[in-house]
Amino acid sequence: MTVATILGGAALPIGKIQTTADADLHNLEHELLLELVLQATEQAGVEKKDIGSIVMPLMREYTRQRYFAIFMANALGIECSGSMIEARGYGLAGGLALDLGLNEILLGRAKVALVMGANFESAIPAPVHASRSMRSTGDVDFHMPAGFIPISWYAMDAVRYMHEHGATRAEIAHVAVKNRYHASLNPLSQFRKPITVDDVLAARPIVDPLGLLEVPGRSDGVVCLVVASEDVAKATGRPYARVRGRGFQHDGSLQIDDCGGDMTAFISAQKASATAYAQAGIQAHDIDFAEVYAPCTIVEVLVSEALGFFPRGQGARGAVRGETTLGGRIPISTSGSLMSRGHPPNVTGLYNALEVFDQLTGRAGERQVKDAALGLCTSELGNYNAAMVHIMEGVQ
Amino acid sequence: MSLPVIPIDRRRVVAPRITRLTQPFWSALEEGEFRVTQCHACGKLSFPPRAFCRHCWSRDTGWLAVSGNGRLYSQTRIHALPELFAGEPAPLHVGIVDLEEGVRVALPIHGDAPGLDVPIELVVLRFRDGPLFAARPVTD
Repeated sequence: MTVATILGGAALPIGKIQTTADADLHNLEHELLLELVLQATEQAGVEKKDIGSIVMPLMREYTRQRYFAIFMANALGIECSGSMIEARGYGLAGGLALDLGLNEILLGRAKVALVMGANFESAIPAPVHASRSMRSTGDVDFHMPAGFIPISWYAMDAVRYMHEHGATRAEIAHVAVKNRYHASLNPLSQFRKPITVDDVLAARPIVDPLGLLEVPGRSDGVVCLVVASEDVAKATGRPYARVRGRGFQHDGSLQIDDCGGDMTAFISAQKASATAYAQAGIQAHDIDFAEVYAPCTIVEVLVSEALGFFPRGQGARGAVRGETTLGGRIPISTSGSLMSRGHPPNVTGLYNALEVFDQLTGRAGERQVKDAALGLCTSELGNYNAAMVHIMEGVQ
Repeated sequence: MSLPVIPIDRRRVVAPRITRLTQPFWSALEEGEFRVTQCHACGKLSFPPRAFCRHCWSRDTGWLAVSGNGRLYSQTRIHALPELFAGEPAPLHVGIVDLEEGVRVALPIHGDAPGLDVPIELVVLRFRDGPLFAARPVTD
């Protein structure tokens, strides 16, 4: 049976890359991404002729060039015999693109596929961007008139979670401090200056109770992964990450379920991870580290519980005890997280997969998880209404 | 019974689009009534309104006017306003309420709520150009 792997990866440090429309000299998505394709394929030890498919998360509306996968294929001189796909999925986009790229391998359509993308948005003012993004996280006729922005749903998770489980603001804020520490060890991070719990609690309010340091900044990112069949990976003699399990679940709701229920249980993440664990033949406690899609502190807490790393209500306290810090029982967001490593949403899932790949192949430098053998990454949309989980194993 | 109506001397930032399906909802709201759709086959309630039941796909549905009473499930104040909402009173106070009929709705919150699970009532915000629904804590 064909097994899919990640065999190479390259990315630019996340930050403000997008130039304004009136710039004399522009940074353009394709020029930056094309260079990364060379770096990632050189690292992977594969050749241009091996590449059969190109899968990309959909580009932002702010990217002038449209139909980007075709544009890239032309610039790369690749004649695809598998597929060329652009995947839309909002926060899920990166994870979905990875999933579709792995499928190209599993279906035998390609021996090697490029899974890559760029997300440029930082030159667009935040309020302008919010007016667009709120159309993706809610019903434009029945939610949007109230003003719900994407992270306002997570804020309501935080309020409910504190109410039900007695978690404190400081406990939740600790996640941001821990993640900033991780980010300080990651050359791809956007924000690397250490912060304290007091800094987090004193930050400008954004969506109560979350302040500026508990929500993502505005980020651009460019990243390329090389996925390949295990036969190809083995033949290179290079370390790779073998995909052991995959799970997906959508709960059928749009932000909230009109029947009610426990909004902070992240049922989709519970189910998707259960599927992935079963496929991998493992349990949650076998995982050595997790790179989760968590735009806000509270989201990391809730998903760490949904993935089975903590009992309900104990995720924030576990973070305070250092269990999710590098060196702890289950390091989470070793990259530095969406808040501190940075969050270019359409490619965030690819950066998360890259972190898992780097950890499993011993490339994570100062933030290397010791003896990392099994890692997991997630991506999501809405209020974790949909969750995608990939479990990978390092092969040296 | 009619929901409290609060006049607001502004236009809605985002005016919901009205369709043949949703027109009865918005017209009833204008008159102080909040309606959900009820499935006559499986009994489940839906909001926003549906032409057929999203649970059992029966077309045999009708309108149910709710009491307007419920509990506050969660809330937040949005300090980072989208450009569309520039000039609106900030922060935007929004929340999620569970109506006693068993329907969960996300909406603006009018007035200060002392905490979660407190009783709320639905209210109609009568803007210059039409209504929106909201909730406010019940004060005896």
